[in-house]
Amino acid sequence: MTTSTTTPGAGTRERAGDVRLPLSGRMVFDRIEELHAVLMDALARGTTLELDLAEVVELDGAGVQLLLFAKRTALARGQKVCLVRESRAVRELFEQFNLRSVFGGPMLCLWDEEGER
Amino acid sequence: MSVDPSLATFLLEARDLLEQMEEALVGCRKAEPDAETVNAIFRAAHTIKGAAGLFGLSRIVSFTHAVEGVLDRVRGGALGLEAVLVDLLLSCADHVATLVNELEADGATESQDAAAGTENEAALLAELRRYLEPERRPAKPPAGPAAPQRHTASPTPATSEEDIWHLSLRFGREVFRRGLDPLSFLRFLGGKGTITALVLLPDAIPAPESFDPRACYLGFEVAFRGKVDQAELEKVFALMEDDCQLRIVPPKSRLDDYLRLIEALPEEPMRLGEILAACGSVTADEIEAALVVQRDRTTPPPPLGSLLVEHGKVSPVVVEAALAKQRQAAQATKARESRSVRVDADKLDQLVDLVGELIIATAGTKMVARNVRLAALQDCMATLAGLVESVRDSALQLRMVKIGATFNRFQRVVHDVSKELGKDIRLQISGEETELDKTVVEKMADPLTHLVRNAMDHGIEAPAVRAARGKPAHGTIRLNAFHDGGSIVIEVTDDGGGIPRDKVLDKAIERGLVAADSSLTDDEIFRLIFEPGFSTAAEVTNLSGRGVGMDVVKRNITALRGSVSVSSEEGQGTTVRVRLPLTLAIIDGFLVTLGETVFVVPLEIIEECVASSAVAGHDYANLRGRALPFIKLRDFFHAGGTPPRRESIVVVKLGEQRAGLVVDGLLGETQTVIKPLGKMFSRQKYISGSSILGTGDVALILDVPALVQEARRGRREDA
Repeated sequence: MTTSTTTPGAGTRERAGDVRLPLSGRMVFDRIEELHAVLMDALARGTTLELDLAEVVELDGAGVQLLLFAKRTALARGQKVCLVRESRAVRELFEQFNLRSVFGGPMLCLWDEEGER
Repeated sequence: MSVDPSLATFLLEARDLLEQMEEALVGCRKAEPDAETVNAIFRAAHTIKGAAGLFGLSRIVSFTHAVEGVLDRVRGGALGLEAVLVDLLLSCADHVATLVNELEADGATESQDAAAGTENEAALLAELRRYLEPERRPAKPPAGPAAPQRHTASPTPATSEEDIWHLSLRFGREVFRRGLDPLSFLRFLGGKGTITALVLLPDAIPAPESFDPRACYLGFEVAFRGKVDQAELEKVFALMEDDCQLRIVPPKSRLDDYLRLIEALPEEPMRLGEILAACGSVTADEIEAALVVQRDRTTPPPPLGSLLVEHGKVSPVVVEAALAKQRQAAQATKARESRSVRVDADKLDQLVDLVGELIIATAGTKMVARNVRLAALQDCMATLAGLVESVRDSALQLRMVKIGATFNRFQRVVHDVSKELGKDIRLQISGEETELDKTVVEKMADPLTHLVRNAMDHGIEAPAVRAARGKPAHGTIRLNAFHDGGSIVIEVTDDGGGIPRDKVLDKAIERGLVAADSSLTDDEIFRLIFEPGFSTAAEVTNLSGRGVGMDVVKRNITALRGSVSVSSEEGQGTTVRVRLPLTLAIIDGFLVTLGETVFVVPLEIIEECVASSAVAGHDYANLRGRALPFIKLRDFFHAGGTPPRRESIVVVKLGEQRAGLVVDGLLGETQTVIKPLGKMFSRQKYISGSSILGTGDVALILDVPALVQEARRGRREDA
C-alpha cells in the first residue's frame, strides 16, 4: 500500500482530513530538519496524522524527540498523531526506553480500526 | 543500630496495616464480610507490598505479592472468604509481622537465611498458590533474584546488587549538534547494571514556533540497579558533562534527598494517562501496584502514595496530575493526617521527667516565696504554679492512649484460642474509648492476655456442658474499661461455669495456704487463686493450668500500683476486675506527718480528713454514726515518739471500703512526682515510692491498699 522509498513524505495518502504519512529509512539527526519539515507540512494538512513507521530502520534521540514534538504539537492544536506499523527497530527502541507510555500503543489509531474503509 | 528514619516509618506503618488486616480478617469470621472489609484487607496487603518495594525488601514484596494475588481473587468474587482461607491469611499476616520484626531487630537487614521463617514461608506460599488460578503466574520476586541484601542506614556508596540509584538527566540543547545521542549514553548505562525504570520527559519540548529539531530538549528519570559507585555513574555521562544536568540520588537516600530533587526539577504537568504509566516505572513491581491503586481507589492509601511521591521515583509532575483527580476525596484524609504527629515515646518520657523536675522546683520556689513574705512574688508564684499544673496535665495527656487498640488485639487471641480449645467463643468489647497511660497499656498486655486465655480455658465450659446447662452454645468473653476516680478499671468477664468456691477452698487447705477450719468470705476465697502455685484446672492444658499465671498476673498488676479482684457466681460466670492508676509518673498527693516523717497519701483515694474521735483502746472511730475502722500509723510502723494532743484521721476509700489513717498532722495537697524506691527498699511493702518535697526533704508514698489489707489481716489474727 505504501511505496517504500527513502524520501520522507512520499506515498502520503489523504482522506477526509486524515493524513497517512509513511516515514522510512533512518530517522536520525542528520536528516532531522528534512523530517521536521515533512511532519509540519502533514500536520498542516489533516486533523489526524498517521505515521507509518514500517520502513524505519533507525531512530535516535533526535528522531524520538521529533516524534514527541509531533505528538505534542498535534495535541496542542486539537489534532491527533498516531504511530502505526512500527518496524522492529522502532518497537525495540520504544520498549528499551519505555516510550510506549509517551506514544501510546499502536492500537489506538483510528485509521487501523476503521482501516481500509 | 540506627535505622533509617524512612524505614522506621515503614516499620510503623506496616505494623499498623497488619493490625488493620488482622482486625478485618477476624471480623470476617464473625459475619459475612462485605466488600469494604475485603477491600480493607486487600489494601493493607497491597500497601505493605508497595512500601516494601520502595525499600527493595524483596522478600516481603514477593510474599505479600502472593497474599495480594489471593485477595485479589477474593475481591473479584472468584474465591469465597471461608474460614480456612481466613486462617491462612491470618497466618500470612503473622509471617509478614515476623519479617517486619526481623527487619527491625537486625537493624534493617532483610536476612534471606533467617531459618525461623523460611520453612514456614514456603508452606504458606504453597498454601496460597492453591488459591491462585492455575494459569496465574506463581508469585515470584518481582525485582530480580532474591539475593541476601543489606540495607545500610546511611546513603553510602557501598552498594549491593539490589541497590537502586535514581538519576535525573536533563540534556542541554547542544547535545545533538555535538554528535552525541542521549539514547546511546543510556544504553551504555544499561550495560553497567539494569535500568529498572526509565521515564522520558518531553516537557521541555517547546511550541512549534520555537522548536528547533536540531536542539535537544530531552530529559530522563532513570532508576538504575547495579554495583557501581557515584563516581562511576558520573563517568558514564562525563563526555557531555557541560551539556547535561545530572542529578544522582544514591540508594537508600533519605526521603529529603528525593524531595530536594523533586523541587529542583523543572517539569510541567503531563497527561494523566502518560503519568500513570510513568508511575509504573518507579520500580519494577510498583508498575502494577501503583496502577491498581490509581484505578481502584478514590483515595489512595496515604502511606504508599506519599512514599511514592517522597521517593521522587515519580516526578512532581506525575504527582501533581495523578493526585488532581483524587484530591477531593483525599482532602479529608489529608486533614486528619496533618492533625496528628508521631512522636517517639522516649521523647514523651523525657518530657514527663522534665515536668516532674519542674514541679519539684516550683514547690521549692513557692516555699521560698512564702518565707520572703513578698505579696507580689507570691501572686506570681500562684500563677506560675497554676501554669505548671496545666503543663503537667497536658504532658501526661500526651501519653494517654485509648485502650481500644489493645482490646481489639484480643479478637485474634480469642479467635485462635477458641479454635485450639474447640469452643465457640465470642468477644464483646466495650469502653474502647477509655484512655490510660501508654506505659500502663503496654505493661498490661501480658497480664490481660493471660486473664482472657484463662477465662476461655477455665471459665467457658465445653459446648456439651453449656448445652446441658441451658446456656447458648457459644461462650462470651467481655472486655470492658472505664474510669473510676483516679483509676481505670478493666474487666474481663466470662459467662462460663464460675469459680467453684469449694474446690478452691479444698485445694487451698490441701496446699496449706489456709487453715482447715478457717472461715473465709467468698471474696477471700476467690483471692486465693492469685496465690503462687495455685491452679484448679483438673487437666493441664496447653494454655493455662500450669499453676503459673494468676500469681504472675497479680504481681504484674501490683507492680503497676494496681489491684485485682474477682467476683464469680457458680454456673453464671466470673469477672476479674483490674484497677490501675491512670499514670505512673505523677500523682496528686496529700501530705501528712508522723513525728518528723512526711508521708504522701494519693489524693484520689482520700474522702475527707477529720479530727480524731477515737475512744481509747478501740480501733474504730465514729464517723457520723458509722463505725470507721482505722489504722494508727504510729503503731503500724512502730514509730516511737508521743502522739500530739490532737491527732487527725484521713478517711480513705478503697473500692467499696472505707478506712481511716491516724496521723499526727496534715500538711495539705501537693503534686507528687513519684521516684521509685531503690532496690534496698524493694522489700518495704507499705511504701510504694518516694517523692522530693519543695524543701528538698523526702516524703514516702504510702501504699494504702496494701496497708489496709495487712491491718485487716492482723486484726483477724488478733481476734
